[in-house]
Amino acid sequence: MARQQIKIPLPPIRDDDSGYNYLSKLADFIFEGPENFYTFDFSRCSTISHNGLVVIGGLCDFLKQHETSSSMLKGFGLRSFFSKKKVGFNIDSINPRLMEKLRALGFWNFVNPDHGFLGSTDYIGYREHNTVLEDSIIISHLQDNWLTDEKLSISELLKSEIVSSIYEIFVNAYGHGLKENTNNQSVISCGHYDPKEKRLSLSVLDFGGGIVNSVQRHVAIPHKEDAFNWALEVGNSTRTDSAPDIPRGLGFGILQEFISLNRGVLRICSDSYMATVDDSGSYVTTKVDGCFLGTLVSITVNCDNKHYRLMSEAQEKLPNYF
Amino acid sequence: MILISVKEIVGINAISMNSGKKIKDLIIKDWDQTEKIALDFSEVNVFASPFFNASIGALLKDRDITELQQKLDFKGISDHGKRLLNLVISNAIKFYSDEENKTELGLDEIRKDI
Repeated sequence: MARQQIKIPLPPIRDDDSGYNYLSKLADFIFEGPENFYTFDFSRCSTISHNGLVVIGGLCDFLKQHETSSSMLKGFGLRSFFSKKKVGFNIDSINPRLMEKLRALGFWNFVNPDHGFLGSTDYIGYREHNTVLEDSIIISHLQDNWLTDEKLSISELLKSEIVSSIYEIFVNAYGHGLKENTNNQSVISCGHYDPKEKRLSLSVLDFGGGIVNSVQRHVAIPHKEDAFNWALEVGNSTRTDSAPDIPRGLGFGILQEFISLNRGVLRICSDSYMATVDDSGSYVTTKVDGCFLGTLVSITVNCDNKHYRLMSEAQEKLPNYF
Repeated sequence: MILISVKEIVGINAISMNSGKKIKDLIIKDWDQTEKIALDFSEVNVFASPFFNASIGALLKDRDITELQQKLDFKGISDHGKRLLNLVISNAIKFYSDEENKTELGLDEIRKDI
């Protein structure tokens, strides 16, 4: 099939339902045609939130990896000298404020270094991570670069709960995301701190096939939505990243509880579904218009030490074994 | 009583499965040597479920919760760490008594990988 040159006119992409619906359709569209050439056009885009940046960056990474693997000369493992650039960016008419925001978030440094600049390494922004989870690096980065006293004023206890919850997101992304990822793609994250609202947001994306695929390979659940919801239940895990006899499956439950107590926002998108946490602290699943062959987890947490409770203050009583 | 300084073994973050396995191996090594094993979490700042799954939760495969309560003592652990510990134990008890035999499902997957 002939390769096509396709222009993607990006709309404003916000951290709301319409943003996630658009991103699921965009991911679906590009995954259907990885052989094509894509140009992202920013002329009608006034803003892109953290969720949009990880998906656009992840799709660029997917296209590059796809091209790399398909352009290797079979039998010799040599890259074709004739391969064209798979992804382009039309930024001539980009809103200057958006351009500056993408620079400050470090987006261009990873996605198109021609437009980036080398800044300090302690920014809260866009990152493409190694294919091996480096626990201490991620924790140090969160503690020493993100949640510093200069950037936000929170108690040590809340800080450790935020770091712990974010770590659970990365464990999830590396666990089912990368082991089953044939394209050797990165886990991608993008953080943003709103100093006025004192809210910290983070999206973490993997294109490792997604929750539904992973669950249906391990458990006989024919309906996709049921498979998606199964993964959200405490104690359920496909155990792709550990020995089979070690109990797992607490990550999404811990996030659910933390976000509920913090009065923050949590979205888990995978396949054609999105789960959010409602006012009563329960997961609610809705359909999205497209399909993610991966998992996108986005959180927004309150960092003002005021209108939230800590997990350690949760009223739900667990058995006190110790 | 034997005292295990968690910070000396895994550092200030008790988060990963690898760190958890180190602690579990030490506990098992000392299990029959002493009446009590104390785990000292002083100066450990961050906790995550993979650590407790691999260190304490996994002990429940061959022991019951009463044996753990009689043998283990947790010192210097934060409220957040203790809540995660109890959550992990609660999940592990269900996991090892699971009638649907999820362990076998996991074993099938490992066999496929091999």
